Amino acid sequence: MKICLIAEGSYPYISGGVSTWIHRLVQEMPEHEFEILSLMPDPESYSKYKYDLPPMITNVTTNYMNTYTDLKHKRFIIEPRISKQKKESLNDFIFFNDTIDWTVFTETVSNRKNIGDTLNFLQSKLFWELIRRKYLEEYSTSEFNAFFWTIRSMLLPVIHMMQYPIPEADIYHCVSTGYAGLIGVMAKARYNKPLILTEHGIYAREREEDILKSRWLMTAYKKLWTEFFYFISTGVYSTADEIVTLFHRNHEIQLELGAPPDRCTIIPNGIDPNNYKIQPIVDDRMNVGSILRVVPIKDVLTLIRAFKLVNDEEPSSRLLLIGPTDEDEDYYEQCLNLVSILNLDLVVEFTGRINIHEKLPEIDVLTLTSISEGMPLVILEGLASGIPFVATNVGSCRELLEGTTDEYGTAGLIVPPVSPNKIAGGILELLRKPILREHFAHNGRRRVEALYSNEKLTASYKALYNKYR
Amino acid sequence: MAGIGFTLKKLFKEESFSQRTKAYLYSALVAAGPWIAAVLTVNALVILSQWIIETNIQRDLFMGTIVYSFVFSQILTAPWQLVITRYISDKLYLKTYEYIKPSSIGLTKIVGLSNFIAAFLFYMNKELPLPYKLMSIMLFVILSMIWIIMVYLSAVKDYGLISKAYILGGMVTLGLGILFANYPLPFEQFQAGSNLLFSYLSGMTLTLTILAYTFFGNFKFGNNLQFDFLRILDKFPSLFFVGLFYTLGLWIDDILMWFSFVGISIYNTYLYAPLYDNAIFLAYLTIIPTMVLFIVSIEIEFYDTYKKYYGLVNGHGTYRQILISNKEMRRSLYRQIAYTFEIQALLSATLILMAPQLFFIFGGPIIVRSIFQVCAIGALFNIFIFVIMLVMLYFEARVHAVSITICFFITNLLFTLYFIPLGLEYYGYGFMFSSITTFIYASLISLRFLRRIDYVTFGRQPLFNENRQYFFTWLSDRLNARMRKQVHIQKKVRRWDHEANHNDAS
Repeated sequence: MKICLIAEGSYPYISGGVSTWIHRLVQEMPEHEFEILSLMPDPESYSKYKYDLPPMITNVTTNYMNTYTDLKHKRFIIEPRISKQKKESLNDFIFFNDTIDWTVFTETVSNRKNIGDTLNFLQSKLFWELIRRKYLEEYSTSEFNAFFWTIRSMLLPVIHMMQYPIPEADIYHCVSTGYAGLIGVMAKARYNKPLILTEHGIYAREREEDILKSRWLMTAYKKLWTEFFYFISTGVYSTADEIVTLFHRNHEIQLELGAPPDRCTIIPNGIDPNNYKIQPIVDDRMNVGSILRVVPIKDVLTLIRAFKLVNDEEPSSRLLLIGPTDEDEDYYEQCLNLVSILNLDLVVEFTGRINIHEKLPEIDVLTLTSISEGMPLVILEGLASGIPFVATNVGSCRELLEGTTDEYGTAGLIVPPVSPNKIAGGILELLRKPILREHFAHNGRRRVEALYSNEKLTASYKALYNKYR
Repeated sequence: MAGIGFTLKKLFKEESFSQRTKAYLYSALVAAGPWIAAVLTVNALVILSQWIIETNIQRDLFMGTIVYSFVFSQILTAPWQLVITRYISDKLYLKTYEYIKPSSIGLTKIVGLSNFIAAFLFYMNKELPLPYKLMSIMLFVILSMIWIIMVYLSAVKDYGLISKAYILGGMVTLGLGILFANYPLPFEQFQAGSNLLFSYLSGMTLTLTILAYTFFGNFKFGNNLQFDFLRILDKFPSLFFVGLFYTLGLWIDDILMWFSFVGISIYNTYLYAPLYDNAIFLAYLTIIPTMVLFIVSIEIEFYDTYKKYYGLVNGHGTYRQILISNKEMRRSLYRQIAYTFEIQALLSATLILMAPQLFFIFGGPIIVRSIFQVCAIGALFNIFIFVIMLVMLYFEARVHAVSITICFFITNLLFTLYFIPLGLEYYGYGFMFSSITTFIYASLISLRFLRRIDYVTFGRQPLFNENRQYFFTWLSDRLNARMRKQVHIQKKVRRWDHEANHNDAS
């Protein structure tokens, strides 16, 4: 069977949770053929694969969203001449109506014969009338120019992206809602093939957080963007044949956002616990570790501040930051600065990209201080290695460490995000209580072995794919 | 987590509509002003010469030289005028003043060379004495340069100095005319005509010198990107064609008339039709009031509403506010045009009706009078073609402006060709019907355009700045690169010199 995995801003160009998940999943299924449809911003910044593609992946198609700049404005705009039904669907899309007929809409937009290219459509009178009406109905007291450009720049890459061809496959599997989900919806409509959605983090929520934080967007139009992302996410929920998420917390949110319960399942991440049977090396230092990419979302700065507090109490402690530092050079620079300002140069080590097995045996406590997470593999790996965790209360961390949905007991401490004091408190508690550490380690390993094995993950997806054979 | 980062480009951009609008306006003003001034000088000189020169034929030769120099230097430079106006106003807006002076040199090089070649080819095989030919070619090139520098000076807006340049030039012309009439320079052939031409050439050279002096006094600094302005042809090729077709349209009926039976040939060099040329020149004089009135009323009333509209569009206006100011702006524009039209129509009608008396008083031929009457109706509509075209340019509707000028050129060509065989009593009808037809066309498309102005202002804006780089960008880069190389070499030579001197000294 040929499965088309639709990924947005991840595999195979950007490493991270979703990419690793894809990379592992396809390797477990030699019986299937995979095609990757990768949605990326532009070819200049992302041209190199971060992964060696396994043979199950027969092709990678990359559609760039921002290459609309290669299009040329035409001197004469061709007004779309389309049926009433198609106009209706465009109207529903602009107005974010949940009653939209996605099949008609995606067909209308994806075919240049209907509306021309994205520039032609966004310059057309039809589009002008649509957004004029939307403005008068919903935003009539706001600045019109800003509204106009906001909605234009919002749709410019979307329509461009929808006009790329989509590879044919037997199953479409998008690994997020958002743009990838929208393309999935379009593929399902075009080829009449099943659509599976696996959502690691809740896309619309994550975008909402980005938007609220963004400084350049006017407040009035933050609403527009947020509504847009919720709208397309809901579209994917209502269209997909299977809606999978990784853990309970996200499952609940999906239901809240309108995902139909009968199509929802939870398939957690998995690892092979046998790979993590390690022999701890005992030394007289206290080693705190964190396996992460040095990027802002992991909130390394807070971790360093927290560790300062730990080190003040326990001078023999040190911090190992295990993972690539080259993904956000500016941020890495900031981290290094902070380390030297806090006089931690001798006790904080950035290892760079290494095999984590080299360092795992030395570590007493692992920590994860992200401000946002899905289901972090590093927690599974840490627990399988018999190392207790201090993690922030994001994503599935609480489920994994406290076992809110099973009987294996506590395997680590949950602390609030962006809180150096609390994080330091948690780390110190574990460092000072070897017995508690041992207890947690035992619980953690049992949980991972029972619930979060790679085998289970593979079996679940095999079953899911076979359902549509 | 997955998700394309929020790296959306800010597409918000601000543009100075107001700066540009004024620029178009002033360039129109300065295009007409000096033209009239120059024509007045020529006529004064001719009247003066009537008392002095006995042989009519030499005066006709001189007039032929003047007419051809004017007409063809206009046709050959007009296409550049809007192009360079746009370039200057963009550079002024961006405050990159250092581009302005070099572009004037670059453009002068291009126009000077091409017009010199054109004049050279024209006079090469003509049976005229060499000094006369040389002076004619020089006059042609100097007039071309004046047209160009006037565009640049419209940016400076020192009208006092500009008028002084013309008055001084005119006075020198007339002074020399009188002087040489009494003590002629010893040209071997065509003494009288050559002396007239020499006087006029001297006057114009002085005018050009003063203008150039004023300009370079205002723009002292510059980079060496003399041909950078050519890039604008890739971006707005339409501006070039607006100027080209409008000027061609203005002259095509004259040129066709030269070949009709009223055309006269002078020394196998010039073919022209004094009857028609004079009539249409007088007809154009009748529309001066519109020019002045419209320019003044645009300044005072329309301009404010225009600024307000674009202020709201580019700024914080809600759509309702934009709609209201849009209506105000359009109403003001229509009112201005209607008002100007009423006055102009009244004036034209008066002049047409009084033409018999006026011509009787000033002793003009009856045939010129009847052509004048027809052409004055044409001119009335023609000036409003010009006004509408200008308005279209204000609204960045360049394609509309081009289509208006093409319409004018083609209808004038066809109607004139149609009416010439019908005989003398139909002379001028071609121009008149062409002007009326184009006026109707221009009114219809501009009304349609203005009704859709909101959509055009917003909906038709490009989604991003497209880098239109085609032939002219390439050409501009090549020419500029050559310039830089030269400068580089000069610098090197200077350094060697310096080093050599230094070594000598030590």
